[in-house]
Amino acid sequence: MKIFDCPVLGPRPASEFLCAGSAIPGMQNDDLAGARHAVYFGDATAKVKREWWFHRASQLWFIVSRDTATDAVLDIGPAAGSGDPHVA
Amino acid sequence: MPGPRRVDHVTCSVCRVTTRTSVQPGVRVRGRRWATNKIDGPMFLRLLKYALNRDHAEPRWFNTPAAPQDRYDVVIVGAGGHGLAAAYYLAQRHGIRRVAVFDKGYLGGGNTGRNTTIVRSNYLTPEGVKFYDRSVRLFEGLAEELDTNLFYSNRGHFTLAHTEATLRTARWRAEVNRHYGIESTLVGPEAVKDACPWIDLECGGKHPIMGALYHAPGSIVRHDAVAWGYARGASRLGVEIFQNTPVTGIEVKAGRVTGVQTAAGLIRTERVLSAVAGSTPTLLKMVGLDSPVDIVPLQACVTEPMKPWLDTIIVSGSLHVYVSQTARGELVMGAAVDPAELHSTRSSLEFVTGLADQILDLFPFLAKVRINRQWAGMADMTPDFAPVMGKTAVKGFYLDAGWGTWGFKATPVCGETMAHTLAHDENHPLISAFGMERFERMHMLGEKGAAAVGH
Ligand SMILES: Cc1cc2nc3c(=O)[nH]c(=O)nc-3n(C[C@H](O)[C@H](O)[C@H](O)COP(=O)(O)OP(=O)(O)OC[C@H]3O[C@@H](n4cnc5c(N)ncnc54)[C@H](O)[C@@H]3O)c2cc1C
Repeated sequence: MKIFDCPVLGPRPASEFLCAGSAIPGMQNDDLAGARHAVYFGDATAKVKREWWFHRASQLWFIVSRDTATDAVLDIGPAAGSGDPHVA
Repeated sequence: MPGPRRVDHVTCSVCRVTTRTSVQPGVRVRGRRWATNKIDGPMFLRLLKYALNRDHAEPRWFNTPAAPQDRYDVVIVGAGGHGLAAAYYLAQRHGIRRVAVFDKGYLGGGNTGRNTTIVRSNYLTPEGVKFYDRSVRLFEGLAEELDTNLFYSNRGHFTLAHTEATLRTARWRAEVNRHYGIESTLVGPEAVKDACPWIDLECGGKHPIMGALYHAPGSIVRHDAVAWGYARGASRLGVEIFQNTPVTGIEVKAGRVTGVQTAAGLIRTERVLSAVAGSTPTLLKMVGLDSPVDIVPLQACVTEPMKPWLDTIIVSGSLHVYVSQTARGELVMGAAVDPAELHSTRSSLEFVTGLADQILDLFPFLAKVRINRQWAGMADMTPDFAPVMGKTAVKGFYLDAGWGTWGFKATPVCGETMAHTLAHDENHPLISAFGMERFERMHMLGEKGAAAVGH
């Protein structure tokens, strides 16, 4: 079973998390065409990506760096504003 | 004495069926000369001859020239069903025969050889329903047209509803389908039990079956035979097929395609069709386009063979599983896609355990049946579960992608419409809603209700 080595929750099975897709940087409310493009288009080749993942049981959000060629998780940390007391 | 006879065997990577495909050209078999690609009479006569002839000789299915030419009218990337079908229709319907098909691996070794072979047209959007209906009709005449036994087996297809919400979607699909002349009806649990007496309608009391969408045309088809049949048809008309020859780059000058870089050198062409399913983002990057398609694995598995007990296709959207029984008695089972993007064909224990858990709710008596094999393909997913097809911002670069977990059934119609689109440099009317610019305009097609359980 795949395990996420989470700095907040400790090692947890990956199946407890949901992937919510790429963490898209810098979306602006006043540039809707740009935002649409950022949501629906991108470089979808295999590489290391920053993604949103949600832990169902604790209701916490994380930012995960994952290699989409190998599925290796390189980094995992709480997302800012996630409601997690560990994050300012 | 006849010389040494070479017989090529093609084995499906997935279901392990081995088919004898050729004898060496000019080799004497029981005193007769068999020419390469000689059409040896209609299929029923061949079957009869096979029954009486111990050598079962069959001409080579398709030929691969030693090296590609420097120029082609059309280069097709990907020798899956879609690329080969497009090659066939280009040559057969449009007289464009200077066509090369390149595959980085072997013919039909991508999602074409990995899918669970379900063909149906009970989609949700009018664009989708019309498109898939055309495909089912082409499929029905295809064995005849390609003179290949595709093992087309009409089974009927039940999409079970365990909740009011699924029942509503089923009714909606039935209405849209019937409006376009497609046989789909809402049926009660008793009709499901009638067609499949072994099912537990109560699903162990957890999620009782309330009804189903029944789609009579639902069928299963031998996937490899579809690829081989199109390959043979195309190659008889002059199309050249190169396996183990990756396309590594596409040359674009002033917004137009001018050539294709392959492992066998640079090839001049003004028209390229990308039909690479799980490698679509890579091909789009070669021409500098952003991808609306994400790659997510879809897994499937088969059990050991059993006596025939299931002659329909059973799908449950709520349980995220589907199952059919092959002619050899194995149960072919699948589910929804993996939880996240991944460019890999690894399969996982989570998949089989998750699937078994749900299948046992429907068919508790399967608890003792073993799973023999599991595998995965890289599905090219779109946000609205509809394809991305047609012309692109790069002149001469045509796309057939976004086939995710549902594109096998579309193989014939994709070949037909893409051949038209390439021949006339104009999108075929049946694919006009499938352009990738729909995402920029937020004109989503909303096919998820009919496609979320992969098949
Ligand atoms: C497990 C599973 C179950 C499925 N079940 C069903 C089902 O029941 N019904 C249904 O309708 N659909 C189903 N699908 C979807 C269906 O299999 C695909 O949508 C369809 O087969 C795609 O065909 P294709 O010809 O476009 O792609 P493929 O068959 O994947 O062919 C693409 C080819 O492109 C080649 N290629 C890639 N990159 C390059 C390159 N750079 N140079 C040269 N060649 C390259 C690959 O080697 C490959 O052979 C399923 C898919 C999977 C994975």
